Amino acid sequence: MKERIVKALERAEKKGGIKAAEWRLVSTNSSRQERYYVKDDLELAREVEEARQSLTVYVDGEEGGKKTRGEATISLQPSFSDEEIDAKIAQALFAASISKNPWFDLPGAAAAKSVLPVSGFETMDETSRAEVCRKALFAPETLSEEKPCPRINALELFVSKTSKHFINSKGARFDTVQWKGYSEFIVEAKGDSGPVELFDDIAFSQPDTARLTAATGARLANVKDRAAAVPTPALKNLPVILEGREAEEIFAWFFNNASTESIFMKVSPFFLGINVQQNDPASSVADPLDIWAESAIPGLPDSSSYDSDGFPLERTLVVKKGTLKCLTGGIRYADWLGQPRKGAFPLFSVSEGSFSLEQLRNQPCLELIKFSDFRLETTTGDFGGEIRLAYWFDGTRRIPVTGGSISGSVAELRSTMVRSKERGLGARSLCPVAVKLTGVSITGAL
Amino acid sequence: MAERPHSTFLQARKPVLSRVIKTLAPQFDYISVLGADDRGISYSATPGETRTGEPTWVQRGFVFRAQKNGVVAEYACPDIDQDAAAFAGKIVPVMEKLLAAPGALRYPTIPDEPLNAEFKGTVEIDPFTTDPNLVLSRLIKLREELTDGHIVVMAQTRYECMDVSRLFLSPKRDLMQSFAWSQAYIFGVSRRGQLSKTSYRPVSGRSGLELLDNLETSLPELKEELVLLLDAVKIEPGVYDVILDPDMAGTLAHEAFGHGVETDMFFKGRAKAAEYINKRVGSDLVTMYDGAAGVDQCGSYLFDDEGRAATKTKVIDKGILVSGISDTLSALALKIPLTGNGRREAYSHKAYARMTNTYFAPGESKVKDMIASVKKGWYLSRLNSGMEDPRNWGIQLIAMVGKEIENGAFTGRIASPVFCSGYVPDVLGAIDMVSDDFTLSGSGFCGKGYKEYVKVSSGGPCIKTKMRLG
Repeated sequence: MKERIVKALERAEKKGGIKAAEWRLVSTNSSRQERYYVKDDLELAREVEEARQSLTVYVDGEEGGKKTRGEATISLQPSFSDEEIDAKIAQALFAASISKNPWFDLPGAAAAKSVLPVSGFETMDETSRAEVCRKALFAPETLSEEKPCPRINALELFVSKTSKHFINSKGARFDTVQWKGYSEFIVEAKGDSGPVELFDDIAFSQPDTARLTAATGARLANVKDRAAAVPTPALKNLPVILEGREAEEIFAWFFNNASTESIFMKVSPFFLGINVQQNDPASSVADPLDIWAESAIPGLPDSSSYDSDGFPLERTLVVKKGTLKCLTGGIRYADWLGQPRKGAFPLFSVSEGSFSLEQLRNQPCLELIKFSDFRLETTTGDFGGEIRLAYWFDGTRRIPVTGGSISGSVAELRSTMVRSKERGLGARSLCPVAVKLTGVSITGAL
Repeated sequence: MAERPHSTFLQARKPVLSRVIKTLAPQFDYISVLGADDRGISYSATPGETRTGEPTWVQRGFVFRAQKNGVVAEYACPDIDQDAAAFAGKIVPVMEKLLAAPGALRYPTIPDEPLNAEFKGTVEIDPFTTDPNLVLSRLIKLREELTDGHIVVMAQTRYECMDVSRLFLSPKRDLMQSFAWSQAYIFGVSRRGQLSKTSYRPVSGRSGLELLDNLETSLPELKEELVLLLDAVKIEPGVYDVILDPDMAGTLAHEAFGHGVETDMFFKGRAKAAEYINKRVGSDLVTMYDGAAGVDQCGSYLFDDEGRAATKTKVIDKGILVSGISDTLSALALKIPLTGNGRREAYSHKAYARMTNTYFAPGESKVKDMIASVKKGWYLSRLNSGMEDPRNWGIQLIAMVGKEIENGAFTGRIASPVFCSGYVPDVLGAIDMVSDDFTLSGSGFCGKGYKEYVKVSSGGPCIKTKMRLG
C-alpha cells in the first residue's frame, strides 16, 4: 500500500503541477477482541480488524517575502482504487498549496530516546488475553442476597493490538506496537430507597491483574456507600478534596496550558518564567509542584517514543517548584515561538505533595469520589460537576453524601492547592492521588 | 441542489456481499452485513494557521452479524475478498469461535422481514466540489473579525462535512442510504490579565456550505458576549426559576429521558424509567419525541445500523412516560417494538440503543412572557455539556452563559459557567411554561458513557422550570 501511495503522489504531482515539498505516511493496522457482559453473562462477543493509512502532504510557498508551508491530511485504505487515491491526493495537494502557514521543518531520521516497556499481552494466547482480564475485574465481586449486595451490573472489555509504521520524506522511519486494554464497568448496590450505581473505566497496557481487581474493588466499596448516602447539605467555606481522575484533570490544566500550541494560539495565559501556581504575583503558594512531560509510563497505553510529527520524545522537566521552565508540544509551534523543540508528549507526571492522604482528610472537608460528569475547561480553568458520591468529614464523622454540585476555577484557586504524597496512575499521568482546594463553591442537594 | 451519490465502493462490493450472505445464510439462524463508506472534509482557521483535513468520522468497512441457537456475534473488517465463497469460508470459523464463547446470552431469533429501500439526501452548496480557497478565506475572515487583539485575544473557526453512505444486506433486506451533514463553529477567548473566558456559536444540519451564512450573522452578538463574560458573576448556590434556551432544553430532554429510555439500559436493569412506563414523570406541558424520522437534522436517516427503518417515537405524552427507544437485541429480549435506534459509532463498533433527534414539543407561551413571569431567576444558554443518570435520575447541565432576570426583566448581569442539577421528575414536573417556537441543533455528539459517539440533534422550544444552580 505504501508503494501505491508514493507512486500516486508522484502521478498527482506531475498531473496537477503542484509538488509536495515533504510528506508523511502513517500506516495503522489493528485487531481487537471485544466482550460485553450483563451481570456475568456474555451479551455479545465481537472481533474487529481495522486498517488505515494517513497521508499528510506539505506544499511550500511564499507570502510577503516569507517562506510558507501549507498542509493537508487525508486517510486512505487498501480498498481504495488507484483512481480514488489519485483524486484524494490531488485535492490534498491543492488544499495544502493555498494554506500559507509559517514554514517549519519536518523531523528527519532520529533514534528513539525512550524505551517502551514490552506488554505482557504480547506473549499471551488470544483466548487468555481477554479471559485473564475478565477474571481480574470480576474477582472482587462477592455475591450475596443481603443489602446492599454490591455487584457488577455491566462490564465491557476490549483488548487491542495496534501496529503503526511511520515514514516521512525526510527519512524518519519507525515502527511501534501498542497493546491497549480498556474496560468500562457499572457497579450497583441496593439502598433503602432503591438500587444505585456508579460508573468507571480503566485503560491499561499490561495484563496487570492486581490493578484491574483494585479498580472494580474500589468502586464496589464506593457504591455500597452511595446506597447509604444522604443528600449533600449546604456547606460553606469547606475545603474540598478531588481524587483520582478529577485530581489528574486539575494537574492536567497546568500541563496543557504549558504547551507550545496553547501559548502560540493565545489560548493559555502562561509564559516562560511565570509561577503557574500563582493567580496573582502577590499570592503565596501552598505546595510548589514539579511537572514532567513523559513519553512512557509503565501501565499506560498511550506511552510513545515519538510524537505525531515523528519527533523523538525524551522526558522533560516542564514546571519546577511552580515555575514554568520549558514548553513542550507540537514542534511547529515551538519553532514559531522561537523555543527549542521538545515534541508533543502523550503523558505527564507530577511530583509528590507535602501531605499524606490521611493528613489531607483529617480536617473538616468534602472529599469527592464520583461525579455525574466532572468538567474542567482548559482555557478558563472553570470546573465542576454534580456529585454522585462524596464523603463529608465534619470533624468527627465521615458521612457519605450524594447530590448537589461543586464549582470553582483552578485559575483562581491554584495558590491554595495542596496535594497528596501518595501517587497513582491516571488516564495519562502518574500524579498525586488527591488534591485539596479551598474556596470551591458547594451547592447542597436540599 | 446537489444530490449525495451512493458510494461507488459499496456499490462495487454489493454483488460479492450478496453472494457471501447467500452462502452464509444456511449456516446461521440470522446473518446480515452493514457496509459503511463515509467520506469527509474539514477546514479550520486558527491564529497564524489554516488546515484542511478530514473529520475523525471518516470510515470504510463492513460488520457482519450472525446468530445461531440464540447467541449473537459480530465480525468487523475493513474490506472483503472478491471471491465470495472464499470470504464466506473465512468468516464461518471466526463466527463459530465467537458464538461458542462461554456464558453467552440467548436472544429470540432476529427478525428479517423483507424490505428494499434507498435514500439520497441533498445539499445546496457541495463542500466536496467547492474551491477550498473560498471556504478557508471565509473562515479566516470570520476569525479575524472576532479577534480584536485586546479583549478577544483569540478566535478559531472550523467547518466540516461528512458524506455518509451505508448499505445493509440480509437474506431479505436490501437497503442503501447516502446523505450529508455539516457543522461549523466559531470559538473565541477573551482575557483580562490571567482571567480567561470563552464562548462560541455553532451551526449544523443535513446541509453543505450554506451553513456558513448563519455563522456570519452570529458574530456581533458573540463578540459582545465575550466582553461581558469577563465581568461574569458567581451564582449564589440555590434553587431558581430558570428559562432554558432550545439547546439547553433539548439537552435536558436528551439527558433526562433520552438516555433514560434507551432500552438496552432497561435490559441491564439500569433504567429507573422501566418502572415508570405509563406513569407521570413531568407536568402536562411536557411532550417529548425522539426519532430519525419526522424531522430533518443531523440525527435523521432512513435506516439504522442494524437495518431497521427509522421511526418517530413519542417518549413522553403530556407528562406520561409512554415508550422507550430500542436497538434490536434489547427489543427482542424485552419483547418490545423495534424503533430503529440501533446505532454504531462506526462499522467497527457495537450497536447500542441510541438517540437520534430528541426534542420537546412546542407549547403556547411567548418567550417574552416567560421572561416577564420570572421574579428572580436566570435565562440559561450556550450549552457546554450534559450528563445522564438513568438509574437514579440525577441531571447535570452546564451553561456557559446565564443571564439574570429580576422582576420580569434582564438585569444585565451574567454568570459563567452555571452548573445546573436536580432530580429529573422534579425538574420536568416544575415545567410551567413552554414556548411556541422550535429549533433543533445538531452541532454536538452523543456518547454512551464516555465513548461510542454518534451524531444527534436536540432542541425544541424554550422551557421554564426550576433547577438547582451553582
